[in-house]
Amino acid sequence: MAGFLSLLKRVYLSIYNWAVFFGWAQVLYFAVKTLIESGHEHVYNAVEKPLLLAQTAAVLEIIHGLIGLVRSPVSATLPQIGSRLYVTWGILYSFPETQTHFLVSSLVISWAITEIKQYACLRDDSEGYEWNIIRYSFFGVKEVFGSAPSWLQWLRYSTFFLLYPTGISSEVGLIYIALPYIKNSGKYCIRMPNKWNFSFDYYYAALLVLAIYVPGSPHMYTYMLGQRKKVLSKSKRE
Amino acid sequence: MKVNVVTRSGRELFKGGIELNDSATVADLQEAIYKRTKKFCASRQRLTLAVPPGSKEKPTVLSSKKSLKDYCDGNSNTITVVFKDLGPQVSYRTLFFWEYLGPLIIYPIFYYFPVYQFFGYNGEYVKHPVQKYACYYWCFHYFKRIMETFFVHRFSHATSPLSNVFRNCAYYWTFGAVIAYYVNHPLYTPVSELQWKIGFGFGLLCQLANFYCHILLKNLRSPDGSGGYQIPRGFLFNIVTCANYTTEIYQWIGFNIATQTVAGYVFVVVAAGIMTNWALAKHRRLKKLFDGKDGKPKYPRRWVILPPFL
Repeated sequence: MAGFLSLLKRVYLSIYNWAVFFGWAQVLYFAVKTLIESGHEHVYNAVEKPLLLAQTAAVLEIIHGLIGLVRSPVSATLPQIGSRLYVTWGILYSFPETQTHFLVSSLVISWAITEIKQYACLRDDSEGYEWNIIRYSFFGVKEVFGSAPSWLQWLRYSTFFLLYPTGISSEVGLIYIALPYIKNSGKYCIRMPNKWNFSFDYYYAALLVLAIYVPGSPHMYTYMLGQRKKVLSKSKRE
Repeated sequence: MKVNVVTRSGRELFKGGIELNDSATVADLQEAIYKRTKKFCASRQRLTLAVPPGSKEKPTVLSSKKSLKDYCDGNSNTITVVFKDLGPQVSYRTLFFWEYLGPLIIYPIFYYFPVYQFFGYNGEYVKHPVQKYACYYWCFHYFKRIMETFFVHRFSHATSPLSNVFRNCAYYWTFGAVIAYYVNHPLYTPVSELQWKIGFGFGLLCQLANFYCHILLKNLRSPDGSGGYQIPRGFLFNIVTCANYTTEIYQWIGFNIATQTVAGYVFVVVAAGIMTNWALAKHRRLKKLFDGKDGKPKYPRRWVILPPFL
């Protein structure tokens, strides 16, 4: 019975990872294609569907971590997924005026490359598999021995040097650009008076989010630096 | 006797150890360490017995009143003690005073002074009676807490890390400001008179009950500050271990029934969560201590904090 459940878990995770990987691959493809063919103003329209799908699927990541399906630290993935969902739904989707900005291109391309590498390398993060028959990887390499090729690992843990700054700057930039639209539209605001004596101002919430990026970004960056050191030194020793 | 003092990484703090009288107490050792290092006063020191490497046991903390010989096994005349620096400490009284002073001062500012102009609400606005009583109730509550801190509570640990001052003050002062902002807001919508009278009345009753709980807890400990744990008895303690937390939570519920703000309810949920953590730990500790063996009484079956849930 335990063997069957663990098999089911592997199958589910494989399907999930492959599906999300494919979603992000679409995002990258359409983004670059549209950027070259039509210009940055049209990138959002081209990638909207796969982007919303792939990004929202990230919520499943958190659930996987919570129910113990994967051994990833919820505390590290939560801020990243939180900020991504916020920018995707709370800024881009809600305020169409931001969709034509060139930062959208840098944003989705940075995210897409990061996610593709992550999902390609996900095998090496998981606990020991007893079942090593087929593993998916980005370039179709079959891993029979149980770990992603070391150059793939190096790629995943080194390109964040560039992708984190570009991704984070795009996020911050887009939130900042959206501010006047947020203020004028009054969207997602709760005003007083009301029975529950509560108010919420989406504009000030956005300012607070921007403030959180100040300590939050170096924290995420140094976390990745630490992960990199850990993973790359471990594979060197093997 | 000779005492070897090592850090948790195994480094010897004092070459050759410390020489003390055979009848020396842990307090004497703490004083000797302070004299030699000049930096680590007794309340900063956490001294434990060494555990074998790889063992999952929790190390035994040395109690300052006991004599060192109690911790030596057999006739050995040397003992190894593991030292940890707890960081700068403040007394619990200091910590509580600063935590509670914030809400006591910040809340009335929102009631009495025209602060809402800074939030864009200019001009006159009407104040409701419930807002006045809410201010009195709130201030009475925190005044009571400060009085209890100085005249009632007997603390098991003398001190708390300094960093807790910043963390706890941030918690109390922020919630205080946010709740004060909403209750005293120019566009505040009061509940019916019956509802707020019931809310405050119930809350006051609970505050009185809470005070009585604190008195009962105080009487469990001796005045010389030796701390220690006893089975609480009497009044609500017969049915629930942490009746003081229970009454505190209900008291806040009373305040919220009267003032009805989301901010206030969020506060009581968070506070209840924090107190529940403490209550579980205390309940567990008491059950472990009073296990019915060696002539000790067995801890009776009781609710932990919030009957009928926990």
